[in-house]
Amino acid sequence: MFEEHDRQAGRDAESEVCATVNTLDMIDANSFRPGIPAAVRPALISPRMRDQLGDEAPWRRRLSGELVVLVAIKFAALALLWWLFFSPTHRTDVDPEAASRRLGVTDVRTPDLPGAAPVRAQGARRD
Amino acid sequence: MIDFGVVTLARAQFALTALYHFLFVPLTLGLSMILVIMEAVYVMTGGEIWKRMTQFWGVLFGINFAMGVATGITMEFQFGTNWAYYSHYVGDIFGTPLALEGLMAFFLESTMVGLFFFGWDRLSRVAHLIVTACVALGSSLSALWILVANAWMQYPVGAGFNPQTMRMELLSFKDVFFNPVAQAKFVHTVAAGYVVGSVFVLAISAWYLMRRRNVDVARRSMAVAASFGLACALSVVVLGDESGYVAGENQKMKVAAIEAEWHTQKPPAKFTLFGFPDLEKHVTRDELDVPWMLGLIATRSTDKPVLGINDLVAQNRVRIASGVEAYAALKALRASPGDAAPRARFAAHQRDLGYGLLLLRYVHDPAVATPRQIDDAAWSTVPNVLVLFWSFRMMVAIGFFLIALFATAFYFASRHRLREQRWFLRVAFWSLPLPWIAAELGWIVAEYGRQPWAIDGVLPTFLGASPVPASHVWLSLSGFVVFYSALAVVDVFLLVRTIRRGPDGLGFWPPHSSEPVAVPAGAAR
Repeated sequence: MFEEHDRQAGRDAESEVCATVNTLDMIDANSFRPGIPAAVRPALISPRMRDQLGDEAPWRRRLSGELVVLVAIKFAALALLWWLFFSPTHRTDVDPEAASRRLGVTDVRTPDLPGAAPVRAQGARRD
Repeated sequence: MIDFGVVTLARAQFALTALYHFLFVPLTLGLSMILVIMEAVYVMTGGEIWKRMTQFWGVLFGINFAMGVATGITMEFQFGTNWAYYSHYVGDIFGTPLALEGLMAFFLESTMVGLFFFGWDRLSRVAHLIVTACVALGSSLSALWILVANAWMQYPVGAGFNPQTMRMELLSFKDVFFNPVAQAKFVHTVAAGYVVGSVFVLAISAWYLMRRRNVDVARRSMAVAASFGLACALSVVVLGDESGYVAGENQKMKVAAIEAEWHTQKPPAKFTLFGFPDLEKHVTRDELDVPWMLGLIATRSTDKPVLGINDLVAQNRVRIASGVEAYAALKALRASPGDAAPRARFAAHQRDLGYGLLLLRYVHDPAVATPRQIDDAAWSTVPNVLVLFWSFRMMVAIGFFLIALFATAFYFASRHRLREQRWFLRVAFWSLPLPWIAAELGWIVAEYGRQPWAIDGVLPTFLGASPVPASHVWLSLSGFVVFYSALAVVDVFLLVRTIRRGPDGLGFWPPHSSEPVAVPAGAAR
């Protein structure tokens, strides 16, 4: 039901799509394609884009700085989470003996208190 | 001793995070498939508008996808932090599909999502369509593995208990994967996700049509959502019926609780359409019944009974007595692993060990349990009838309303009369929250209906919790509430902003930003 309109709209959009693709290709050639040798990259950039970007464009330095800060924050948050929930002092180790005590099928009863280290059987796996 | 306060907190935390996560999952499932449909039309017709539609709905999909990932990962961590004994007891089986989900589905989905957004100008039309299809496939595979794991909690097959390692161990991966509950749950859940996605597209498109904005995009989007949504909503009913039959076979107590069927009826059992369950007197007042229906749904026959709660509790008393035997044998086996007598005794009663463990809520040693304690344990196997009864009926009512909504939308779309039906556009827009409510209610029916078990018939929920201090769980629970509230604000803000800007405001359609776009005075932007 929409074919005629679609065809017309497709023709109208064609020129803008081409322009977008060209712009993206120019930007990509300079910054995002590791496979292209640095020496060749300037040849792929239009003179106008080369003037705008330059060899050490400020936005690249700013982006690098932001990425470094973000990654550092991420590592700090992960370290905090690990310490809070998964560090040896906070996590709950469960092995067959601990499970046995939990179900009360082991005669030696150790209270399931927080931080109480379960008796580890020889060769028992950590879960 | 087990701190039941901590167990309740851990359960509340998991329920909160799961319910929250499940707001995003069905929309991811549904929108990804709708993107495939729209892009397939683009590839087949070459109509640029279909590409732009895919890109616009893709932005909303991306926001939702990011939220789904962020809220899903925390749930897996909880198995280690709050459910350490659960993880030990069943991790051998439960962990396998979860690992496969990460390796197979999530990696595929995540990689392809990147290509979906950044590959429009780098891939051919067909290649990009394949990428979009892979995103949808990844979402569905993700749902498949999660539901395989979840179905094993509902109906544990392909595994056995090892007294030496004190855990369930995987015996047959094939049985776990082809678990009938998993198959039924998967298709039902995925179809429900498609319905959520369709209602989302339908409602947002209706909003645009009401404001006479993005009319070309909205009309086409509504046509896709109406046809796809109608097919999926009908499928949800059929597949939900299959889910009911599978539950009738394997989780009789859940079915009895959903129907508030206190006493076993003479077959074929009637279905209670409406009523007021009385939890004290074990009756349902002011019932409105449909003859035969429950018998047909739960047994696919007219001569097989659907057991009532009282009879199931009586059966469970017997299983608890058998479980006490298994427990005593296990205790003897732990003391002297080489002894053949307790091994044989354990093998004879192993199937009911979980029922014996239910007594640990009331007594240190199940062997010394009183008849009263056994009776209490037997009645503890009945989930909350009131919650299940009403949740199920509300879910079904919403499901049938959505079928009517899609059918009406389909009728108007096929007659090109959507724009004139302002009453319908309003109904479609205000129906937006309904599929989410139905999906959450479905989750409550499935998971709350499994209680008191973490693994049905195998491990009571209270035995799976970690012995962590209540303050720790309070802390993480508070953290989740704060963090998730912030995420909700960000999510709603991003979605509303994107929708308000629309395909025109975002430059997707019409393609030339210099083109005049008809926006009536007062239209919200």
